[in-house]
Amino acid sequence: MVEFKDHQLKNGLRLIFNEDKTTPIVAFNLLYDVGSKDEDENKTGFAHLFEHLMFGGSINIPSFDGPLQTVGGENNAFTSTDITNYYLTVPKNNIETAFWLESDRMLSLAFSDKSLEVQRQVVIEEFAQQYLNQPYGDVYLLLRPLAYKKHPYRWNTIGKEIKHIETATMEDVKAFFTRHYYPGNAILSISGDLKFEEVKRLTEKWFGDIPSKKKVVRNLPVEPLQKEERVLEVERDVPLNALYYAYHMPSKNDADYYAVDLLSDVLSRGDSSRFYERLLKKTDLFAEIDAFVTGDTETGLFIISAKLSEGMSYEEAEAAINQELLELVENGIEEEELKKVKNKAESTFEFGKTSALNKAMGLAICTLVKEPELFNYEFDLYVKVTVEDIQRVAENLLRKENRSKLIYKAKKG
Amino acid sequence: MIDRSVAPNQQEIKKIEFAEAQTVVFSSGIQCHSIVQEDCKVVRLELEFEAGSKFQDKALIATMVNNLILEGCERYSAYEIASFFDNEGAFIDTSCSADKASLVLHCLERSIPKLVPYLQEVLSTANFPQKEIENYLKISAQKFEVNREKVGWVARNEFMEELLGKGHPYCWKLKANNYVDVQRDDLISFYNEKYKSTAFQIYVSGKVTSEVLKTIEEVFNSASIRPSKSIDRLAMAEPSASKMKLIEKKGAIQSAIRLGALTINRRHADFPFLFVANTVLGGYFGSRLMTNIREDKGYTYGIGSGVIHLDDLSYFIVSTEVGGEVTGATLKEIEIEMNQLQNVLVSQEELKLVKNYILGNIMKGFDGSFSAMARFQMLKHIGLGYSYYETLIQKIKEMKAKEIQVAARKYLVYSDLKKIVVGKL
Repeated sequence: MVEFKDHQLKNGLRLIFNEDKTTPIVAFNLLYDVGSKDEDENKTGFAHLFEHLMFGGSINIPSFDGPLQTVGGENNAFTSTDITNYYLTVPKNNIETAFWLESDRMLSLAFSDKSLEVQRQVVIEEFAQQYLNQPYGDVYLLLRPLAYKKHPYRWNTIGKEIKHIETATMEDVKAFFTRHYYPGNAILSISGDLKFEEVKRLTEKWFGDIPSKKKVVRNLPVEPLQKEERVLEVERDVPLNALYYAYHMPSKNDADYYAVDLLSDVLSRGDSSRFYERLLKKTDLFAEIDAFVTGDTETGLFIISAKLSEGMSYEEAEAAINQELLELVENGIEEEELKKVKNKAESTFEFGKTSALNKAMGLAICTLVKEPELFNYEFDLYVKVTVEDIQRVAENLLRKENRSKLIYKAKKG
Repeated sequence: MIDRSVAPNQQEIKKIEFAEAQTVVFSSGIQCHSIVQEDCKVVRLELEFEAGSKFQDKALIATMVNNLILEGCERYSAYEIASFFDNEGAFIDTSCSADKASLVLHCLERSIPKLVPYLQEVLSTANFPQKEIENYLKISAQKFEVNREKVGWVARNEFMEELLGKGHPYCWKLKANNYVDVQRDDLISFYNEKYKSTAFQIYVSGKVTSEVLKTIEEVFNSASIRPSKSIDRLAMAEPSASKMKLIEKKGAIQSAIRLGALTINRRHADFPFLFVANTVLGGYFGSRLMTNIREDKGYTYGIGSGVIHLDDLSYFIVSTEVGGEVTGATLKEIEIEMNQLQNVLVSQEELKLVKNYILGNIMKGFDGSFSAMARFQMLKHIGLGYSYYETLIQKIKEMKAKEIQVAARKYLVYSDLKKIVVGKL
């Protein structure tokens, strides 16, 4: 049980605090409820580019990193389809520096031209390093627009194409800040050896006078029900043929989310899982095979990804995968197998509670998805899943009409 | 109104509290080191063997033995072993470096009585089934084909050979034919020599109750163990004479750059100065290399430098991936930054920042029992006690800009570096 206290400022900022007496550092996590799903389809990659700009100096403080490092702190951030999350750790007696820095960049940024030009270039290099200059690096740039036709999950967090990053203007940057960066759109979550009253006082002191704004109602296009299988075939300069299936799955607020997550574990978590034992080891068909969920807040994807061994045909590989899926749908799973994946989930949750940073981040994300209590009871939602649930969601999910298929062929010679 | 342009008062980092490990030596000769964290339900148990790749006579042997220990023993098949750990919700992993090889168990504390005796049986009766060996080779040969498309991987694979020369025990450049050249007997003899009945180190952290310790002692004390053989020091390195190796890769959008040279180890009196000088240069996000090459020029997503310590030698390395067109410009900027560190004293402001950053980072290294154990393990490898940190912290606090400059002139010299570029120049 992770104890926490909860407080909301008048301007809408939500504060969650976990007292952890065992650690010399404080974890300070500030989550903004904005991700790539909030982008304009002609200006994609913006939430992530913006995350970079948040380090380019704020209205009263020219550098974010310098003053933090001077007091022994360290920070980082990430952007996903759903959120932009900033986190730092700092020795506990210097915690006020974290409040000072984070509150100033919520108030306003410096918006320097130099910072925009440089970060634009850095993000282009990131795009090249992670997506273009890696074998199989562009898979999700292809798979997402195949699986989604309307919903903004159809582009990746890095953006649809480099051109959108290249053409971003300062007006775009400012408009994005105004729209998404304000107290009511943020959750501050702190874990460390401090007292709640002190944390509350510092939060009021530094964030209290930041003007509130009316929360923009998110009105995302609904993805129409997929009615037939979609197939895309590409050729790339890679050593092995690869194959990807993407199925639409329930959102994180749907009770079936947890059954689907466990279903992916049954297939491929651990060396005794079905795919690993029956497909990777017992046949010569695959060099790699995996099943996982994207974990998005809204209706995400259940993905099966495989690399075929040299000389193996797509027909054989697909037949073997589909046989496994059919087996699941027709015969379900044993109680023992379900117990196994639940035990894995339990130890994963318990390891997730062993550091201040994991707790602060987990509490913030749960607060956004539903409520902070979710951090403590989320595992119970896995415990509730029955073998019948697994078979039912498998049947519902693993239909050909619900599938987008990417055939990613190795160019010959 | 608060004045937001003024930073809050800064508190000096005075003392860093360490969670120290307790060591018990079993009568079998095995040492068991533990750090307790009360507020959790999980345990991390690592068994560490003197069985890294520097001890092998043939490529891949050390890694394969380490991996395949869990793939079959006298009484159980690979599938049965994997199921046993999976059923308990546990994670059992292997890792193999140039020096050491480990089996690492992450599990709920309640699973310890069941898993530890089982792990001991698997470990002491591993039998390396032929079909598992073939399977491993097949899969890793294909991974190798994927990896050698990655410029960063290729640069890493080349690096040690450039630094140390062919045939050095720390240098095992992978080639496609390595994956057909492994025999079961090679694995069995390495296993017999380096794992079976040989003393090893146990590092256990998390919810280490007295019952947990008792189980570990009962299981590993009864094992019949002979002391591990003392290791001959490695031959001195004889690197190749060439200073620059370019591997062109057609169509590469980015180039991978690795620069490096042998340097002093943690026990050397100059080490704290090199440590701080390296941090200024490229050892953290706000470093000069990052500030210049990423934050000012936008040539890269990331660049860093570091001092890597192996048991028998240490080296300095600069590593990055940059846009193909700016490969040459990046090398020039690295040289400029290294020269700058030799020619101009670090400002008081930057020095203060770097000192505090390092102290905060050391403190973070003791956040939770798992991190604290990693620090202890490092001390164990260099054969020093916690006084290493006390001395290091003291030296860092007292350090002057002049001393950093002296270290840079001695140890961070661009013309001394071996250079590898994969991509284009």
